[in-house]
Amino acid sequence: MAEFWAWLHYPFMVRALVGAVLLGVVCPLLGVLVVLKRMAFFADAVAHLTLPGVVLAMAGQWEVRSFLLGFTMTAAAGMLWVKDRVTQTADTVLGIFSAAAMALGIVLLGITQQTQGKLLSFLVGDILAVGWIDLVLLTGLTLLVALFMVTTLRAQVILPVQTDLAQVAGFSVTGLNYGFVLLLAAVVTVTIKVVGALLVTAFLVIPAALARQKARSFMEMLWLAPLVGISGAVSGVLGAVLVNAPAGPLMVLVMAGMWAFAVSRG
Amino acid sequence: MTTALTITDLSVCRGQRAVVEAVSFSVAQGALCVVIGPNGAGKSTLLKAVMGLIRHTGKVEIAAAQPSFGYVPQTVAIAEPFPLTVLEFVAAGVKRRWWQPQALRAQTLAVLEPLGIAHLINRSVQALSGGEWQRVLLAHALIAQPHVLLLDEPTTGLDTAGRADLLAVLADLRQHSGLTLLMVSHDLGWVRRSADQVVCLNRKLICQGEPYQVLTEDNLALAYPRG
Repeated sequence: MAEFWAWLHYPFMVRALVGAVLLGVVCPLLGVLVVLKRMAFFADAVAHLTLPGVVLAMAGQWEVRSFLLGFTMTAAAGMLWVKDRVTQTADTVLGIFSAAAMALGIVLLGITQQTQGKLLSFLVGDILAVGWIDLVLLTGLTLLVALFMVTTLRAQVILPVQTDLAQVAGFSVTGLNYGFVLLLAAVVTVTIKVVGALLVTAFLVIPAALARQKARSFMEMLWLAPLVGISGAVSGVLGAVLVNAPAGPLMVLVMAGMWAFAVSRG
Repeated sequence: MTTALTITDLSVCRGQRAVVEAVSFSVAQGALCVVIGPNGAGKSTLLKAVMGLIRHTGKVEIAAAQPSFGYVPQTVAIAEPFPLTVLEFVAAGVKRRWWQPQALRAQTLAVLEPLGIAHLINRSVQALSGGEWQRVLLAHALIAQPHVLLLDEPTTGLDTAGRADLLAVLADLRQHSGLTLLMVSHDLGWVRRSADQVVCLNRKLICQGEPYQVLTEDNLALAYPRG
């Protein structure tokens, strides 16, 4: 136990825990909308879009995060535009986008002959390598997501019931949807360094799905989802130190276990 | 009598096809105006165009400085589990006053009570019966105190008792609030007994007037052509 507390004296461990708390708030908070809007597949497709984005940034020798932010936001808005105009079902369209994005990334990797090391760090992430700049970005993003939720709360309550009612109440459904996907793209871009492109969807979906299962009101869902996220993320980081396992997958496994327990209890 | 709502030459097109064509009528303040017509006649489209939800040509005027609509759609089912209480949903109909949650609750209760559903305020919307849910939708529409209330076949999917209850609530609402109602209905018997004005539509305006003027065999044959 003493050895465990000794870990907390390392700055990287403090940063990892702060990062876990922020990650546990920002993703589940936006995840509430991902789950209620049935956009888990969309979030997954956005995460897959980061692969070609990272390869292009490395090939062009641009600052990866800035380029990726612009790339994923543009691509996510484009994906929504196409999804709203194609007569095929959303899961089919997004499945195609998801696979095409991954394939494009791999093809670009071959053509540009980039090394795969840096790419791997974006795919799996590492919360123990989080720096102070990452934490500042995560904090800013968390505040932005919270602001979005507060200012659009009325619309978010009405929209899952019927879009016409939201329009009658004076909300632009199109504006809200684009605002949401741009924010989703920003969250995915900033958090993949922490949790990785392959696992970021879990942070968006699992805590919100658990909260939906247990909450009796929308407000309760809004605080329960981040609570689950923080519990899972912090437990994952501490567990990773204890059993010497990768933190990201461990965080996801903890949350998946919590979800399975909650669902089994009804 | 004062006019509450005036619709002039309202048309809605989908592609090259007109689904509502040059419809004009007006509704008096506090009147119940019912739109009738066969399926596909453009009744729901007309309501959405009046509220400005879909692109249209023509004019819609409300006699109010800051005109507002309330809307009760056909029965809507919430497909996925959604933890939402009656209080949250009804209160979402007005701009929230976060710093005054008790005032918001009181305002919500004031709308729920005349509709006979004040006891449901903390209940999940998914635990409501069809009739209760329709009343909650009505409360959501009323809380912002609209100038005109539009209802799109609000009794669809309700059993006989539920339908009678909701229609009684609407009659009571009219009597006490003087609200102007524009409603779509297929229940011609009820329309004959209750409406002040009937608009008969089949893409174009077939006729309009008081129930005894509109609900004639000739007009209905025109509106509901056989085969």
